[in-house]
Amino acid sequence: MKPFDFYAPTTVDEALELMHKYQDSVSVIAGGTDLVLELNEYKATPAVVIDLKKIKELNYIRVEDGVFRIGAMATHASLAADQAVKEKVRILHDATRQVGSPQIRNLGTIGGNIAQSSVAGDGLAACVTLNADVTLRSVRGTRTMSINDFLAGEGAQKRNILAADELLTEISFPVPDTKHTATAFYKLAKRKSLAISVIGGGMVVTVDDNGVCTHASMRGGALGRYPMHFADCEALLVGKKLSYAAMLETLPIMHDQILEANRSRPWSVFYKKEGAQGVFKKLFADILGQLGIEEVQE
Amino acid sequence: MKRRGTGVGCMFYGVGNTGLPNPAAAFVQVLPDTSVHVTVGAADIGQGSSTMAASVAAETLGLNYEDIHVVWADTMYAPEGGATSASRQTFITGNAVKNACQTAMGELKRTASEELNVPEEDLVFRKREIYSNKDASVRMTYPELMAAMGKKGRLAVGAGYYNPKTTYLSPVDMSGVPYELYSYATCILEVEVDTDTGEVSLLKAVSAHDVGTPIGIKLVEGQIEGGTAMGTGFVISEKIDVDPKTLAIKNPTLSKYIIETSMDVPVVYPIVVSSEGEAGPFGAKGVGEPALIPSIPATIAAINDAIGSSFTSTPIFPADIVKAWKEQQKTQG
Ligand SMILES: Cc1cc2nc3c(=O)[nH]c(=O)nc-3n(C[C@H](O)[C@H](O)[C@H](O)COP(=O)(O)OP(=O)(O)OC[C@H]3O[C@@H](n4cnc5c(N)ncnc54)[C@H](O)[C@@H]3O)c2cc1C
Repeated sequence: MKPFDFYAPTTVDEALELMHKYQDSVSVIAGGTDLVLELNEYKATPAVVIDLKKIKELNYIRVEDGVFRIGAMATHASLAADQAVKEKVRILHDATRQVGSPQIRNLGTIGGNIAQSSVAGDGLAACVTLNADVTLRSVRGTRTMSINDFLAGEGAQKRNILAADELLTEISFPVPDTKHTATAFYKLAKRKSLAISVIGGGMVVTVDDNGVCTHASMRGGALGRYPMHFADCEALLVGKKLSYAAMLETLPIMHDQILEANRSRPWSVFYKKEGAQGVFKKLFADILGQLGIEEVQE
Repeated sequence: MKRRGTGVGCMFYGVGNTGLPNPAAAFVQVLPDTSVHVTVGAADIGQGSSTMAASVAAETLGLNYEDIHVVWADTMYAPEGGATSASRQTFITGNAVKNACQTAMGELKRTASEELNVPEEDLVFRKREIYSNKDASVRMTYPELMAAMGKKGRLAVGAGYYNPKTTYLSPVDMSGVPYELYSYATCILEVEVDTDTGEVSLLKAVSAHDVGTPIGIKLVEGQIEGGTAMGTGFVISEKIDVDPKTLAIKNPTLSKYIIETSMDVPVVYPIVVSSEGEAGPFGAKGVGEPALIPSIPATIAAINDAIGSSFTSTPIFPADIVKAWKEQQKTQG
């Protein structure tokens, strides 16, 4: 680990000033579960490290005017334990409760997970499936954008749009109406705890009063650099009456899309394309059960 | 689709090599306050060989487990213990402790015989008391015995060792009797296999082990539970990934060499089977390696039973399972 100067501000404004001042070589540290590894391995060699843990105003989970607002410093453990998240946003509950181990969940934050934008980020995959908004702040101002635009941007670290002096402060999305909308996450990994996702499948479906699908979001974490978007599968569902049979019809499209995207890696593609279908069958069953449409026997 | 399967694995396993000399030793002293020092070379790597040594000493000397203090594996002071390997320490170091204690008993018996006026061969040493097997009212306590030893200027010390009967094997074809005794075990294991994702859930394992006389039943059960976890992990998650070109190990870290967590291990029901008449201390046999061996074939067989596959080697990863299932469906459909 290369020596660095360490700051632990207690307000966002203070942190933003520091980030701006040292932006040539600065890292913020949230839970440190990603960053400390990079520091140890000299993959990150900042001159200044700014700790966010003392900034109370970044640690919250609340519902305001029909919108979920989650502070960047909310930990995986606190999200997994939150009753409103559990009842209304199963995808986020199921993604965060399976991150790493209890120790990692107690330290690791949703903000860190999204800022890191790793291939196998579970919180990231859930938020992308939800098409959540992220709020970024710097001394230059505040901007809020969809997480997809956030990932598409090329900022200081190339992995997302974040500028060197910019802080991710909030993740927000409308509170799902659970009568019509169901969300689900399934983590396929090499063991049942403390494992990196082989596939982190996320799904959001909305139906109208007649059970016709009006919105679908299907994403596959760890299948590509960013959670893979199964847009053609979604399109096939929208406008159809939701059923297990209708959902299964999307799988051949998914199969071909994964095959196409992974052609350069023949050794992993077979399992990814088969495993992903298995993952989505579970998501279908979960969604249909939540909406009370169909009990799918496995 | 989720499918369940059950598999059975049986094994027998040799304990105490006889092909080459294989000794271990122990030092023992019963102190004036009736506490005991036992010094052994056996390395306790968590399996409980020191607990075993204390149990054997207490049983042999007629004292309680709490009276025994074991110093172990310190090569500065301890006698040769040989390797903690091959499931041998209970058998060999256990016998060494027993032999050392029996030597220390020489002066204890002589003194008790004089004090109680009972022939040495009629004396019973049990739970901190010494009495006649002809008349249990003729008795003294261990502290009284140690006081008498002190007055007479006698010390209760002993050194002992054990070496399984070295029979050697034929230099021509290695035939002969390779081990002094054998442990036996059977494991029955149930799995649930997800044919879509290839995930294997280990549901439960019943593992029965003939350990001779169990010395410390909790320790034996712990060995069986840990061994079962190790054996099942050997099948479903553990793989040493060797680069075919450089022959370097590609996953020499615990983040890439996947061992089971407590969430992955099956519920293990250990069954401890006692048998008699073997050469270990009080008839005990080894359980260290036997604990893990039968769960390996049991897991493979359970997976095969679940999906109709014919795996014969480890590891079996989700990709292998999905592939086998697909091929199976093709040949049937
Ligand atoms: C053993 C282990 C197991 C793990 N298992 C999983 C898993 O199962 N699933 C999973 O998704 N992840 C896993 N991770 C990765 C990691 O724990 C998560 O990504 C975690 O959410 C990171 O959050 P953090 O608060 O620790 O981030 P940090 O390490 O503090 O930060 C990560 C990066 O984000 C930046 N950053 C943090 N917060 C902000 C912010 N508010 N604004 C701007 N930039 C910011 C930091 O500068 C740094 O570059 C695991 C890690 C370990 C060590």
